[in-house]
Parts: sequence; C-alpha cells; structure tokens
Amino acid sequence: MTVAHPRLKPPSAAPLAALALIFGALPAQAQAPHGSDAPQLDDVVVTGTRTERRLADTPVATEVITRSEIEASGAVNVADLLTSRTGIEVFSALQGEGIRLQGLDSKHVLILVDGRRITGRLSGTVDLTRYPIESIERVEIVRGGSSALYGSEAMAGVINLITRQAKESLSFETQGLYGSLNTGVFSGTMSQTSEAFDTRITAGWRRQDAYDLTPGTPGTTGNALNEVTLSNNSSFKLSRDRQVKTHLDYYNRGQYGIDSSTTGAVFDRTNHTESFSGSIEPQFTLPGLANLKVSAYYNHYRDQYLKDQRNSNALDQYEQTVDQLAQLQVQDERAIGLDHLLTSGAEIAYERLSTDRLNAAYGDRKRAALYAQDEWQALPSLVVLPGLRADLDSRYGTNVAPKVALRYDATQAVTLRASLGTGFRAPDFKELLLQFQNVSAGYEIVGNPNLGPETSTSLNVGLDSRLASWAWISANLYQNEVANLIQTELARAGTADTITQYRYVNVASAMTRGIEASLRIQPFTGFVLEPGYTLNDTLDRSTGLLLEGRSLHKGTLTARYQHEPWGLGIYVRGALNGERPFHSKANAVTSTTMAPAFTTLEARLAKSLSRQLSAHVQGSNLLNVTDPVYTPMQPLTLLAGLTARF
Amino acid sequence: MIIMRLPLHHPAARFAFAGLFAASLAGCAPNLAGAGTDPTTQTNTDTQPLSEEQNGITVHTSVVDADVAKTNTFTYFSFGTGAVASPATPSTSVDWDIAFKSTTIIANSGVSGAGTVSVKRHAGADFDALTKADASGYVIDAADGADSDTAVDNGFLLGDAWYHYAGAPTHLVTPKDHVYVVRANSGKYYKMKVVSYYDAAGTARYVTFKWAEITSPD
Repeated sequence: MTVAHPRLKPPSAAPLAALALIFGALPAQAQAPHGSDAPQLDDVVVTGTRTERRLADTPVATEVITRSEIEASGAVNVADLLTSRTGIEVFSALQGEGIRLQGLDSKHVLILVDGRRITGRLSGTVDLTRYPIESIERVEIVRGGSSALYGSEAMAGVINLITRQAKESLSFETQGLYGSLNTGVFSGTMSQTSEAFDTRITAGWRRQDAYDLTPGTPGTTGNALNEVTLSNNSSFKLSRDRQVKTHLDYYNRGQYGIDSSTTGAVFDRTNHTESFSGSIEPQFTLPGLANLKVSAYYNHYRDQYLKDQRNSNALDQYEQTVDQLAQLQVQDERAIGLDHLLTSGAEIAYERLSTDRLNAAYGDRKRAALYAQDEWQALPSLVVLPGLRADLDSRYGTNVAPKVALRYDATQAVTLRASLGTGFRAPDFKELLLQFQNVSAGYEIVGNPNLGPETSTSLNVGLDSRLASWAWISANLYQNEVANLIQTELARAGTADTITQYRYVNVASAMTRGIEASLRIQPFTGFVLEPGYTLNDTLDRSTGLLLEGRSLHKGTLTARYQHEPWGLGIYVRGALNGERPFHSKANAVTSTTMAPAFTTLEARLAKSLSRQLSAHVQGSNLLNVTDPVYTPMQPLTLLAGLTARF
Repeated sequence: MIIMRLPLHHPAARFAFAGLFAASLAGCAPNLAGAGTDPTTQTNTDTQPLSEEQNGITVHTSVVDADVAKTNTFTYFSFGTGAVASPATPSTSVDWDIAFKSTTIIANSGVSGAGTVSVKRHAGADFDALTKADASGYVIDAADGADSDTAVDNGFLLGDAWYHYAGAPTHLVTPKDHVYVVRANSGKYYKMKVVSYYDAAGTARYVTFKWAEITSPD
C-alpha cells in the first residue's frame, strides 16, 4: 500500500496536493493573504517539529520570514533582517550584532543553519552579521524552551536559517550595491537542477569603511570590513526514495578599527574571522510511511584578534580562538496508525575550543542525545505533541528536557497554540576552564569544572485568527523562568599573599514575561500593513532589578506596497524601542540609568526595468540615531543597486 | 577529475563549480600572530634624564618602567647616578634610593631596604620655588598600617598618596600636585614631582618624574 500520510511529507519533493486527507478534512485555516510577501500556508517549515510540515499544519507556532520579504526588505545580512521585528531585539555586541528573544540573552537563543548547530559564539553571542542574506531562503523562529528537540541553548527559542536550494534548470543571479561609507556589496549565484543532481553556488563580497560616533577621540565606533563568502548546496537524487544532500560553505571577514583609551594609548585593531562548514545528509523513504535522515557535519571557526599599540608594543595583544564541532545524527519519522506521527532521533557530537585564557590548551566535550516526539491527532481539531530529550554531556552528566505543545482549531478562522517547554544551556568552556588574572586590579576569575547547566521553563499561549477577509491577528503570551544562571561569585578574599578570586557558579535566576502581538491588514491588493507590539517585562530574581538593556515596550510597523503595472515595490519598516535600564555599581550601591527611547527606520524602493533587471535604492537608520554609549548604530546609510536574473 | 564527472551539463555551471573549489582552497586568512608592526618601544623607556636649567638648578626628567610587564618586580632608581640601578640584592644594597612598581613607590629604608632614605611631602608646593630642604619631618618606610592600601607606609603613599585613582570606567591614575623632598643614601637632598603615570604611547606604569638636587638644611 502506498497511500501517503496527510502530514508526513516525503523527503523527495512529492507533490503535497496529491496527498489524500485520511481522517476527514482539517478545518480550513486562517488564510494568509495571497499575492503578498506573507508566508503562504503551503510553505513548508521545519523548526517546530524537526520534520517538514506545512505552515498551516504545524502544531508549534512558527514565525517565517520568506525569501520574498527578505528581498523586499533589502537586508544585507541576518542581523539587518531581524531588526525592527516584534519580540526580537538586535543589539551591538563585542563583534557584530546579536539578538535577544523574549527578553532572554543571546546565549539562550539557539541559532541553527539548516537545522545544524553552528560554532563561534563570542561571550555567548552569535554574531548574526556573519550570515549574508544572499544565501538565505527563509528564517524560521520558534519561541519558548525547545531543548526537548534541540538540546542546549534552546531556552528562549530557536532561530533556524534555511539556506537556498537550486530551483530552476539553469539560472544566474547577480546583485551589486553601492553607497554610504563606501559600502560595496556584490553577489553572484548559479543554480542548476536536473533529474539526478541539483546544485546552487553562491559567492558574495562586501566591504565598507569604518564610522565614528565620537569625533573627539581617535577611536572609531564601527569597524571597516571586508568580507568574502562562498557556499554550495547540492542534492544527489539516487532513486525515487533515496537522495543525498551536501552543503559546503566558507566565510572570511576582516574587521579593522581604531581603539583609543583614556590614557592616550591608541590601538589599531584587526579581527580575522573565518568559518568553514560541510555536511552530508543521506535521506531515505522507508516502506510503511517512514522517512530516515542521516546527517554528518563539521564546523570550523577561527577568530584572530590583534591589538597593535601605536608607537609602542607594550600593550600589543594577540588572541586566537578555534572552535570545532563534529556531529552525527540520525532521525526517523514514521506514521503509527492514522493518528500518530512519531519522530525519534539520536545525536552524537564532539566539540573542541582552544583559546587564550583557558587553564588548558583546549577544552573539549562529548555529547550524546536521544529524543522522541509524538504528534498525536487527538481530535479532528486538536493536535497534542509531547516530546522528550535526554542529553549526556561529558562535562556535567545528564539532562532531561520535556515539552508538550497543543494546537486547537477552535473555528475555521481561529487557531490556538500552547506550549510548555523546558530549556537548558550547557556551561561553555570559558565558564568551565577560564583562568584570567588581572594582577594590577588584584583579582582573578577562574572557571568551575563542576558547573551544571542553566535551566528554564517557558509557557507560550498564542492565537492566530482571521478577523476579516483582509485582516489577521496573531498574539502570543509568554513567561520564561530561568534558574541556575552562571555568574561569577567571590570565592576567596585577597590577602597579603593571594589575590582576590572570583569563580563561576550556578546561582542567579531571572524571569521574563510579556506579549508579542501583530496585526496584518491588506486593505487592497498589493498593499500590506503590519503593526506589531511587544510587551517585555523582566526581573533579575537575584537582585530584584530589571534585566539590563531591555525595552518594556516596543512598537513595530511594516508597510509594503507593490504596484504591478509599474513594477514598483515600496517597503518601509520601523520600530519604536522604549527606554532601557542600565545598571552601574559604585561603592556597593547600584544605580540605574534609563537609556532614552529610540526609533529605527528602514526603507527600500525597487523598480523592475525589464524581466531580467531591477534597480533599487534603500536606506537604513533613516532617523540617524547615533548614541555612542547606548545605541551605537551605524549612522544613516543609503545604498543603490541593481539585480539581474537570467 | 571529480569535478568533470559531476552531472553539470552546462559549461558555465562547470566553471562556477570549479571556481568555488579553487577559491575555497585559496581563501584562508593570514596569520596575525606577531604582526604588530611597531619598533620596540621608543625613547620613552630610556631613563637617561632630560635636563634643563631652572633658577640656576639643573632639573632632570626621568621615565621609569614601573613593572609594565606585570611581573611583580620593582625598578630601582639612584639620584646619585640619575639612572636606574640594578642591585644584585636590593634588600641589602644601598646603591638605590627609591623604587617603582605600578603605583607603589618605596624608599630604601625601614621595611623596604638597608639604606637610610627618608621622604617629606610638600603638599601643593611650587616645584620651582622649593630650593632648600627642611631640617625635619622626614619619614622612613614602615610596615603597612591602618590606611586603605596594602603597600608600605611612607612619604609617598601614607595618607594623601602621590596619585589619584579614578576607578571605573577610566581607571586613570593622575599624579597629585605634591612635591617630595628625598634625603638620599648619599646624604644629599633631592626634590621630586611625579608628572605622569603614562608614556607618550599611552602605556600605563611608565612613571615620569622630574627631580633636582637642592640645598641641604642648615
């Protein structure tokens, strides 16, 4: 018998439309507007369940930013794309930009590329400017503790960057942009499909000058950069029920800046960041409505940092970080009866980090995990999704993370989703192994090999509803409780012979809760307006203070207009971020400063010149917010470019 | 060639695929280790004093490395030679007068050394106008007492220490407007004033001070 299961999507691209609905028609979903950049309900998402599901069917609330919205927005990298979005905060990090989700730190957000873990967190933050947009097909965002599927770091949620696959028989695409700060962006893509083999190759280059928000000092605020990327996705179709996907990418970025200190010292700073990743994924369709996926991958990340003091070498500094990850995973997805879809998998991984300041030449860990989830159609309108994952880590032992998600189709126009999930974050190598001495200030910070994971519980309750044929609402209430947060604590007071010692311990706890709501209005064809609002209330339970840098209120607005007869597209996106608390401690007294509210605004105007060619102009930070202390954003930037497809 | 066996039908596709592999082989970043380009630190570590005449007195300016490398060692200075001294056993030597480590300045006396160096602070005094040493009020180095620091107690550090520390975020160390009169091991008197804690390149722990021999008390 070869009847396909209604929700089980075979890995080979069998037409979903042909799949019969076995157990009665599902209620029609809250239809998103067609003919816009909105995610379509037939779009496939993977992040919520780790298996391919139609957006309309997934039991786990998944936000999707589609390729057409990515292109309309003019974003150059993933950090740009996530700026001004409901429930997401993009902030300037040590290097590049990181994000917070639901008020939790970037170290509590799992970043995946095609479902694979990545390497290269610096102080816990993944720099999302590292991911150029030309190779991204879509971005999927799942909120709430998801360690039951993904393991470590999936506390606030998961952001999965899905890369582009070959689509047409043979096509080429190139784009060039030039503008403020001598920014130049150039990318080229070749895509080919055939019966047995698909491949897509993308190469990109970007450069820009440094900028300076503090003209009184010799130092710069934003780095000059020079970036090269190369990537390839291929798929070998061996037979109807077997295929092998491969992926390769290389990234190389130089960043150049000037630092100046109050003592008069001036430093030329250079960063070279490189990453390489490769993967191979055989996929099999098994008899009896089952799929089997095997995946092996390797990531190599290398960051070099050189601080070169001018007129001296007394304070010159060089640091190198190499982070490697190898992982093997197997996942089986099968239908059991008509009402159950069982997904189960196993992973083993080896990670190794070498960097200065560790008490050993390198730190490494082995990890093994087993997970399973059952997608159970309990009633025609109710899906229940329990899941469980057990992780075994060579550094601290086992951790078990459960989760349950519900999806209830209340009426044809209203879908409710709820999830109660747990998350954890394994202590990183710095927290385990750091050996850092500041002799002149008389203290040292040491790692703690006995650390356990940070843990969290999160509750999300959401609603998607069609209010009218031209209006949709989506709202989500969340609360996250985070415990065992790792912080430094005084381990030994200094004496005449020993300096003061601080060490990492699992002590702190925090809470975040709030609302993420957005409305989508399409008053007439071609025009979409999306206002959004985020309430994000936070509490550091250890100190009773608000968590630093989070806005309590954030309002967002996106407007898009496509005038087909003229081939004209207009995209405007803005966010009003409320004031943010920052704490400082002097003489054991904590004082809180509220950084002023600020507004970000981006816009893009595109015009088709012919079937192959389109021109565009775009601007970011149009209100020119330049606060070097709290909001060191790149000043008003204007770019103009051309895109050719043939 | 593996590349040629791939089912890439179009020559452009083959070209692009081969280009990707060639570029990925060539593309690694240069190694930055040791790429700091400056010559070794410039003349500012040279403790040969710069000298100039003021009111008939020769005023010298010296820069000493007050443990820039953070190896927890003192740099010893002799007013007699006007230069850094390298005593084999500093604790028994009288070939140095004062010594520097970070913000700590010690005198060769009491708990710090075998010498007889003593120091008197002239808070806020005019360096140029001070041409004759007082007869009394000099202190030798004593063990750390009840003050806030953990360094020895002496004329430079006890109570109103020679520097002001700004704390976070700048951590700047700024000399106060004090002039010190030092009675050296030789029995001669010298006035000195710290000018800066930083060298011209902005490196901390380069203590710059000006000094001159003055008339002994009657």
